[in-house]
Amino acid sequence: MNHLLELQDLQVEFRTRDGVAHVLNGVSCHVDAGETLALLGESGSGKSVTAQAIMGILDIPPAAVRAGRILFEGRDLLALPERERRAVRGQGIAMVFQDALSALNPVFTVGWQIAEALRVRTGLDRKAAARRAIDLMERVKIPDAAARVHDYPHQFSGGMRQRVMIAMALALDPKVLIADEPTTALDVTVQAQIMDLLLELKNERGMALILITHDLGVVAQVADRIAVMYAGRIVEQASVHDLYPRPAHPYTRALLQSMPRQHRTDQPLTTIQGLPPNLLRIPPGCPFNPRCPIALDLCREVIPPLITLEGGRLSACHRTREVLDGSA
Amino acid sequence: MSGFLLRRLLQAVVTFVGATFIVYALMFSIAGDPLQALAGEKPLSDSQRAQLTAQYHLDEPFIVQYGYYMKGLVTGDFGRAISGRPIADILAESWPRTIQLSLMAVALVIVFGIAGGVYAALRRGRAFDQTSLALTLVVIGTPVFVIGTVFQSLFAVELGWFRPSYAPELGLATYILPAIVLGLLSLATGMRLTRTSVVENLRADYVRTAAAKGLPQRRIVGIHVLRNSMIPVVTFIGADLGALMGGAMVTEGIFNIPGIGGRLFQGIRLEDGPLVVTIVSLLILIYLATNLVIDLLYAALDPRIRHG
Amino acid sequence: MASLSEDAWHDLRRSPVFWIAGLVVLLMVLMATVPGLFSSIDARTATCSLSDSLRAPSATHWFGFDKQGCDVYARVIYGARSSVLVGIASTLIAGIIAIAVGLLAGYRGGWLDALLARGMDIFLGIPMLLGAVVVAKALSGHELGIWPVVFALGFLGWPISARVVRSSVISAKHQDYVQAARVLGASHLRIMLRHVLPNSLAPVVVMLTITLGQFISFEATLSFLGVGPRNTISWGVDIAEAQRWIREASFPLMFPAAFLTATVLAFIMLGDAVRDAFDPKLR
Repeated sequence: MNHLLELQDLQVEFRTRDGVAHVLNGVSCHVDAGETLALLGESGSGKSVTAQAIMGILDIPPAAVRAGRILFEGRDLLALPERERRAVRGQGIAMVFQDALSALNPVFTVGWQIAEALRVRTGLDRKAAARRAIDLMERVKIPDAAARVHDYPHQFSGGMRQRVMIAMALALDPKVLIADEPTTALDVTVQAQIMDLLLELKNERGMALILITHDLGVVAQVADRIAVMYAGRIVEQASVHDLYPRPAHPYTRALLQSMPRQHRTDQPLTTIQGLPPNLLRIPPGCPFNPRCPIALDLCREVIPPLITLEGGRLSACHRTREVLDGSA
Repeated sequence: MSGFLLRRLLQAVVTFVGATFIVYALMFSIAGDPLQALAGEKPLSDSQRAQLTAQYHLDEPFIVQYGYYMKGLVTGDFGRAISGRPIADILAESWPRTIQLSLMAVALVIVFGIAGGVYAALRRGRAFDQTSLALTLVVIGTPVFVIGTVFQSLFAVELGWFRPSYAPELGLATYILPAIVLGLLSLATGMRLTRTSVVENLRADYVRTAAAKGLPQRRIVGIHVLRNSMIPVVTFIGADLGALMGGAMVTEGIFNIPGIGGRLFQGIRLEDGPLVVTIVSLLILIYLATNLVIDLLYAALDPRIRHG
Repeated sequence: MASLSEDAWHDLRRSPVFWIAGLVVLLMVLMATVPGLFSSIDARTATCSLSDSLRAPSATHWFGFDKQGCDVYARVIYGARSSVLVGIASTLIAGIIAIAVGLLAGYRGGWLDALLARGMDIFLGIPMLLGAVVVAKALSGHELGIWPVVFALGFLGWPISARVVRSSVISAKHQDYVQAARVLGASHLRIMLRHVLPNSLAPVVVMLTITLGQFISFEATLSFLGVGPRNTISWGVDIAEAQRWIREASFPLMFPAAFLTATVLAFIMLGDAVRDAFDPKLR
């Protein structure tokens, strides 16, 4: 069976002045219609690059896709000519960016920017496109949309601006929506509203949603499945119900322990020791081994493969069994 | 918007009064003897002396002199040059030539400067970019009068492609070489600025957003990037006008064009103080007025300025 | 800060532009101070013979002779002094005004900042060359040597550098060590001179290096226009003179023009190279 969107062994590197940074080292995952997949990781883990690779908006050079396939509705996007690839953007897969203030063009009205894709891509005339822009702004619950359609991005609050971004992404009715840290720049109360809106839209339209975040709290509320990324690899993948109570990877466990929780005050809050690896010089073996409290000699030599565990969950750790049953 | 306009207008008036005051004060008071400043080392007849004293109210206190001078400037009563000709007549005859020359130069700047800058930015690091970076630097380091005299020698005298000096019978063609000389510096600076601005904007987040919408590259560069990149370039053109005016003086002087700049050039050489100070003040007025217009254009281009 | 300037120096040492420009600047300064090193003929005292008028370059007289029959090479060598001297002196004046105004405006802020900003606008409202012509012209009858031009350029050419000082002072003002000095009870003057100024000097020094090149260009232009320093040998004057005879010979024009351009360019490129090294954002 074909998934709506499937990554197979995606490898991306950045060629910099100081050497080659191995940003993605074989990422495989998939998402289906109506489903929410969360890509979770620290900055530098490769989650945003994964999104940009799917959209085909990596800066090439310095970036280069070394290997892998990105299958959308069965077609490999990486093998498509630029023209067909472009047709997928916006219409097949759309994206909401993190910082709406810089992601929106400062010199055009938001209405113009929402309508632009409609005019250019579907040949809608100016008037009809403008009407449709107002509809979309109303759909993302921007009050007084008919008047605000003429305003510029800097005239909106952070939350409203993010709604504009969402309206823009929805303009061409995409089948997959990628949201790259959509709430990081926002206040906590506004964050919840934007997440609710995204979920509501996903359910209403039967889209697949890929949510990129470093925030475990956000993930718990909205995601169906979680893929935890570390140093350009997926180190664990599981459903929310499986992952939170019983992580199968020491990195996930450390992340969960570093998250403040309201109900459990019995455990001390810990932070993860050390720093994420320098992508120019990823250590041999498991990339997490220098920070791993339970690393063995084996972990410093052999990269653990991503293996399938019970319930279809995945983990890439030599000691995953012990992590799962709590004995290590 | 109207608040912005009013504030800018007020600022321009203050700047104009201040700038002309400084020029006037420098001209008439640092030299000690204002008559000497006006006429240089030429011997003055008693009647010329009396005429200049009356024209500049030199027997009144300094601030009153300045007041009369400003009144004359604003009402178009410019007095007479040392040669005795009314300055207004000289100016009326000279304007069209300078305007034709500068429009041609500005056209060169816009067409080649902006287009070249955009092209260099899109081909960053390639041969065209590298060559234009080096050449524009050389132009920026070369004083206008050197470019003027060298081009005159090379392209007019040696190669014979142009006339070495003003030839009204050729019509607009007589301005081609002078316009290149006049425009070259602004073309070089404008091209570098456009290149930097476009390079910066190509990296901006909104470019990725536009790409994610599935827009063709042509449209992303031609509409999204260009519109943003032009904001600093437009401001530059305003600020650069001052250099362009100095350049017009030198260029018209070299090619003997009897425009405003040429008159100023002659006025300096013939030590015609009244003509020099009047033309300089008028040029300041035009400079500030143009900058006001540029500021409004800037506001039109950048909504962040308009809706503060 | 220390590591930043070390990085900058590391980058500079590897920049050929920096070395070439620096070498040209050194050469010109040497030419201005001891012209006798470069030319056996003292252009200030040499007698020129009209029989040599416009004689072409030769093995003994590399740059030929000008209309008056003077050795062009000697005049080009001795012409460096006026340019370099005027450039340095006027840049010093402009730099002192710029630092004083920028420091006050940036450090005190408020109404003083607003007032000084208007003042800068006024000076920026005078196109540099036109203003300098008026000043130099008004003073030209007084046999003051290079000073009218130095004064004209220094007095009119400071506002852009002042803006550079102002903005770096504003950012230095908010640094922790400045706040700490204030908490420790240091006086405003002491904070300004000991803490804020040294840490905001680099950008304006770069700006002034470029300004120096531009001032040399202005000095030559003023000389060309006939309001430059009196009774000195100057590239601008020689170019103006050579231009009159351009139909007969172009070499008396090309040599001083080439030296002038090389000098101006060297200062601009030196400033650019240092700025690039100090401002990694622009890479």
